[in-house]
Amino acid sequence: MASLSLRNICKKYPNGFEAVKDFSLEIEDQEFIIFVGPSGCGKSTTLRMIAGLEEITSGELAIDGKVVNDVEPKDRDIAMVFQNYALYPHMTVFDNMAFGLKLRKVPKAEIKKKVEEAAKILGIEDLLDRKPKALSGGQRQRVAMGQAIVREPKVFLMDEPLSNLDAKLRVQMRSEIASLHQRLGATIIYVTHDQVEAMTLGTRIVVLKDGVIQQVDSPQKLYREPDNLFVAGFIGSPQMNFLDASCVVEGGRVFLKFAENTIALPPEKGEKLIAGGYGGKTVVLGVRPEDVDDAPGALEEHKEGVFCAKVTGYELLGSEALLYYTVGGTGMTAKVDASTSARTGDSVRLALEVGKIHIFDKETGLAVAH
Amino acid sequence: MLSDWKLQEMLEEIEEISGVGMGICNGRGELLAAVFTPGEEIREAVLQFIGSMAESQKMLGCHFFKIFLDGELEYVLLAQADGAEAYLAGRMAACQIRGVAGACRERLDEGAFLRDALLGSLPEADLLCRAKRLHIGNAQRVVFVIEAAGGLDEIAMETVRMMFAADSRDLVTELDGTTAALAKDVGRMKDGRELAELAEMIVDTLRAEALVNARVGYGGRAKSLRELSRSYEEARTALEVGGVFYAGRSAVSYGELGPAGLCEIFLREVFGENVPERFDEETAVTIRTFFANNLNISETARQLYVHRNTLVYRLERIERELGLDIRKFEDAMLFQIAWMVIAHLERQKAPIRKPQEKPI
Repeated sequence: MASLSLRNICKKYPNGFEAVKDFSLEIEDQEFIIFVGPSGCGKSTTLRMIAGLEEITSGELAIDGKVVNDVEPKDRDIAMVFQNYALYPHMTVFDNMAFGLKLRKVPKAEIKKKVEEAAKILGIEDLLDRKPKALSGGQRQRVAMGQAIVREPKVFLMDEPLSNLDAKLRVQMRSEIASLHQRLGATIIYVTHDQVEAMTLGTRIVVLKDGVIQQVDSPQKLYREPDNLFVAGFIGSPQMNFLDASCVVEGGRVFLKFAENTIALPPEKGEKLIAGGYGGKTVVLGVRPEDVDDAPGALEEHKEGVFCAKVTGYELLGSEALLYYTVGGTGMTAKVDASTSARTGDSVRLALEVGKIHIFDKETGLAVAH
Repeated sequence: MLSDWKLQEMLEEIEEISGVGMGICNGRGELLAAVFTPGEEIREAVLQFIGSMAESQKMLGCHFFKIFLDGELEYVLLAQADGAEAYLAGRMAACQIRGVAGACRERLDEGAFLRDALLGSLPEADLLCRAKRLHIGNAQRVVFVIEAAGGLDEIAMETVRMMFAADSRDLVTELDGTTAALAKDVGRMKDGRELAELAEMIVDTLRAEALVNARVGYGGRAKSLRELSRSYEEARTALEVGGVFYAGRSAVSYGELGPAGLCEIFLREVFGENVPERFDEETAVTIRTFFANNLNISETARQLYVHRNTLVYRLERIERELGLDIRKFEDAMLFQIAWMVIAHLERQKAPIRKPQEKPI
């Protein structure tokens, strides 16, 4: 397997559009790294540049320490899996998996060995004689993976491979891909626009927006300590609530005022705001829906974070419920216990866990305190 | 002609059945595929055999067989071992390869036919006559032009052929080193989205299987073989124009590039993703009067019976919503053109407009 080094990679199309800007990243051997971001953020373009399918406008790409900018895709020792894969309809699963090797004139005995090994890894040994039309969506996807596995590449590049599957199958295939990574011990670069897929699969996640890396971190750190408003809003479902608040310093303590409410910040967050010179300024307060609660216990425990709001919507999810509410005209969400008595139209008291709130600079969008 | 990998596969299978190792050379004596490793002297022996009158011969511990297609020497088959069984196996293998190569030549004829049909270079009578001889029937087809800047190698071409090998109504041909064409039977594909998915699938499969970055353009539906050339022209246009307007996209349909497609590109350029559909009465009247008064704020305010500051406030609100400051000549001109385009698109969607729904 292999490590990759991307240094100041840029992609500019002839019409002037810059798809990727100054992309720098070190990928360790056997790492499962995810590129995530909204459509058009440059994640697939970056993947194609790694594969050699797209020319790198500037910057340097190295695989195992060797610069490969000018190396042909077939000589980079990579394999790709895409969402719109085609299986050859008239061939059996075995022949589908073997086809690429046959074209490359790999000896028959070796092909047989590789296909059987890949089939075993993927758990499709029983399907080798079947034709694609006799396979389910998940089985077809496994065959597509098999086509890549038989090549025994240094790096697997996967571009939204699960996008065409239904929701249930996606969840199942997600865990299969995770265990495949364990079994193959491979370096995998995986592109998705689905933040849930990113959070569940990756050892590290690269969040992209408009061709620029926003943050590279573990799933936990991205969730707990987003670097900016974009990452904070993109990671997490329902997404983080944002609210403009005035920062007030009184008697050495820092308070955030929004609408008719005031909350006291814990000293460590307050110190960061004072040090940044945010006293008297407007900042953006970010709080995840799960860190807002209406339970009596929570209201008691987080007295310093209690505020009033008007409930505008209620959705029961099963064990939890989503409360949609407004504070000073801003729509927000809370994920609360399903036993809540709050319903649409009610005025309620909610408590936010001040230790878990995030504060962002209003001008730059960068995080000030977590 | 038969690809080397296909020949290799056949020889391996024949060896499995007969137990005789075989090799195959072309008419220049070059070894194309083999399941044993012939010595260096074999090429000279093959050339000598080609020059002889014999149709089969025993040399260097091998039986040599000539394989002719339409009276011309195509291959020389070598059967390793000199017994009678090896001779028999060799003759049967030569017969098998001749049959497969003959079928392959027919497919090549299909490719040549498709090229002529796409270029529109045949009179209709000839086109139909050749189609009949090749058993190519009429079907509703769409031409997909597949282009790879780095070239479509044997692996890429074989990948495309295999993707569509199951349906005899699908025709594939290589146009030059970098372009191939597929005339796909789309009789059962009623939805334009299915065509777009197919184009994406071709691109993704070529990327994954052949590691080639391809772009695909496709034209409109051709109801007869005669119309294939039109669909082909459209597919080429889609590739060329799509390269300019959709630089990041790998699959482009000619349908997207019609006047409506280009109008939508223009509107996205002007307004971004939030293209306005219509304005409330107050905004519409304000804009219309402002334009009628040559962007004169005082005169417009007077005619609308509003305070100048109210008008300025309304224009600022429009600027916030549209991103265009229509107090400036350039933005005003852009807005006026964009609004005419929106009205045109509206008319296209609903040809009979109610009288009260006047555009600004």
